[in-house]
Amino acid sequence: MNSQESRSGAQTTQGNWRERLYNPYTVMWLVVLMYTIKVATKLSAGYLTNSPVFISDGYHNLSDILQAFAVMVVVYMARRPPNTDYPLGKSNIEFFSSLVIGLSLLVLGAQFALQSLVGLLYYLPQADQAVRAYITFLPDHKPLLTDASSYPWLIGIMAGSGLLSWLVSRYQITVGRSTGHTSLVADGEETASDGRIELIAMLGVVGQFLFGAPWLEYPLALLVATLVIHTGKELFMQAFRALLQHSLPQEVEEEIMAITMDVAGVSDLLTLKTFQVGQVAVCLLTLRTKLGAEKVGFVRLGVEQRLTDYLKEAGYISSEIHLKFKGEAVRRYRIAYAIAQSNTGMVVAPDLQTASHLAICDVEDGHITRARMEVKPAQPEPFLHEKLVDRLFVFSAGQQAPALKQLIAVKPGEKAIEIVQSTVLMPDLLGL
Amino acid sequence: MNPKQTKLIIGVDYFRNIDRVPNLAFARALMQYLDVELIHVRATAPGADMTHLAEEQATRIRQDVSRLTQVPEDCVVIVPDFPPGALIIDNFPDRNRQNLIWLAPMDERGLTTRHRGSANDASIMVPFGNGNSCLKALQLAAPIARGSGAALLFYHTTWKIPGLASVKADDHMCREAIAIRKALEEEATAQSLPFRTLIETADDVADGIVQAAVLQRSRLIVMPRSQTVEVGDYCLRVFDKSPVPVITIGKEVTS
Repeated sequence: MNSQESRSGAQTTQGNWRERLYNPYTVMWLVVLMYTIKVATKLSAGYLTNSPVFISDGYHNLSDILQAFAVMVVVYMARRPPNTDYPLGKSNIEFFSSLVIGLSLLVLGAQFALQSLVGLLYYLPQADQAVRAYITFLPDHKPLLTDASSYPWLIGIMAGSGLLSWLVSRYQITVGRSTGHTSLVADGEETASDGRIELIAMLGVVGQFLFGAPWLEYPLALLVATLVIHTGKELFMQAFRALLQHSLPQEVEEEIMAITMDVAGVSDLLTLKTFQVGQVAVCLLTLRTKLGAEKVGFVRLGVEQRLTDYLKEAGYISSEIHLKFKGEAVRRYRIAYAIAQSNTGMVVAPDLQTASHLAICDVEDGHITRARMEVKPAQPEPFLHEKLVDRLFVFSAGQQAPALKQLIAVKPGEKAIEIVQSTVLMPDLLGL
Repeated sequence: MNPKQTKLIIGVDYFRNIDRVPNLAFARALMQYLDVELIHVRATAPGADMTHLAEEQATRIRQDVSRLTQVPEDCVVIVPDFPPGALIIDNFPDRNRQNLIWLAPMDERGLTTRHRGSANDASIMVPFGNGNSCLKALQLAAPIARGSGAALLFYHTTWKIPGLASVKADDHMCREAIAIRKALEEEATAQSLPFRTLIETADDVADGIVQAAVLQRSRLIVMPRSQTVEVGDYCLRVFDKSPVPVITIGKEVTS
């Protein structure tokens, strides 16, 4: 094996390691392992010290193991390739698990907040009594039943558990974001919340151990409960929005609009619809352009490429950009020029009386697209009305000019035809 | 072909086509960037029997152009035709007039109406091959880039050399193109103009140029017409395909 082959072999091995490290199943198996250790240690310590905090947390972690398996199933389904029935794949299933995890965090946060309030009230007996008089269903406070010899063990278990949760949650979130698995990110957030709760529980034990003041735990616990509820709400709302195909966030849509209008050839952005399928951003745009098909191909490329780049930067694993082009809305109307014959050719006549011809011009957005030269009829006014002309241009010089803005007489109900000064005398400058 | 040295003439046809307002907007911007004071407007003068009205028509055209461009009326010059070397803004150039420079605005309303963010993200593209004429295109592109606050983008697409495995497009460039690249980059450096160079192996040269212009946020493509190609001039093909405004420099201007 020469050095080049050996280098390429090393690169492949490195690539395999990275692939394994970023494999969602590797992460989730690690999560299962972590929770198994936690369940074993917390339940053992809980039953040995008769600690309801440790026992309930141990059972909570047991449910986390089941949740980890559920996430694996969801990831498996989300990774299935798209087919004709599900052209965008089934990655939205991840939002179902995010929804459930978000909801469970909301419940967990509320439960934790309630326990903390009960804990605080326990140290204020009068207030406790008063509150319980009104809220009869308040749970009883379960203090930690430990002795001096068990404190170091309990502190060690909770500190180790909290640290593990923090490390594993970071790993889950990183892999979830890089592979586009929302459920992994959500589960990572849940693991992080567990870690925070464990650290607070540890502070309670430390408080009791060092100062004989276990109440120290509860104000902090209320703070953590708020964080947990906030995380739960975010996960829930994100999943809810994605499942109901809510638009992408406003700032993302604004950037999409700005980027689109930045591409040469786009006259206007008529409609924009966006939503999310899994971590795929979907954008449906209707654009206005004046350009022909060959040029529009490059406009399409520019919009697609630049939006794809932006959405990737914005954190979406991929994007689907669908563009529809519409031609320019044209404002059409009709004008006329009074034309007279001079010795050297046609010119714009100074007035209707001296005109020998009338050039009836179809105008689109200020541009004469069609002009027809008609011999001036004996009665030009009705003729101009019949042709739906709304302005007649003449070229009269000098003193006559300001006084010219007169109207051709019209019958009641007819729109007046305005006589206005032409800028040019020579009809060829009008394309005539 | 330094615009300042040769007193470049910037012109538009009056009422010639649909794009009167954008044409005048581009003319106004170029006057500013190229330090040109006058705008030349081509308009047919009346015949001998109407000479008394000729001045009236000229006055009205001057007033109209002045109103649309904010250029003083006495800086609007009415001409019967454009002299060789003039830069004309028009979406429908006369392709046979090789002694003029044509700027087609396409559907753009001005040189700086798009492109948000950092000005240097936007670019003025000078595609180059293995001929010297692109150096003359740079002489025109440089003040426009400086004036509009855009970077210069030198673009080259090359055919792959058979048997050469390198995936780097630069490695497939011919010697002449490498020399031209060096000259362009040296000139931009000498003028303290920000620039970037993009070398590709596009399947089609014209498509490659237009695609790069769109993706690299070019405000303008400045290209000379080929001195030798009679059919399929890349410059005209780019003109036909590009949504980005294009300046084509007639071959008699660069020869």
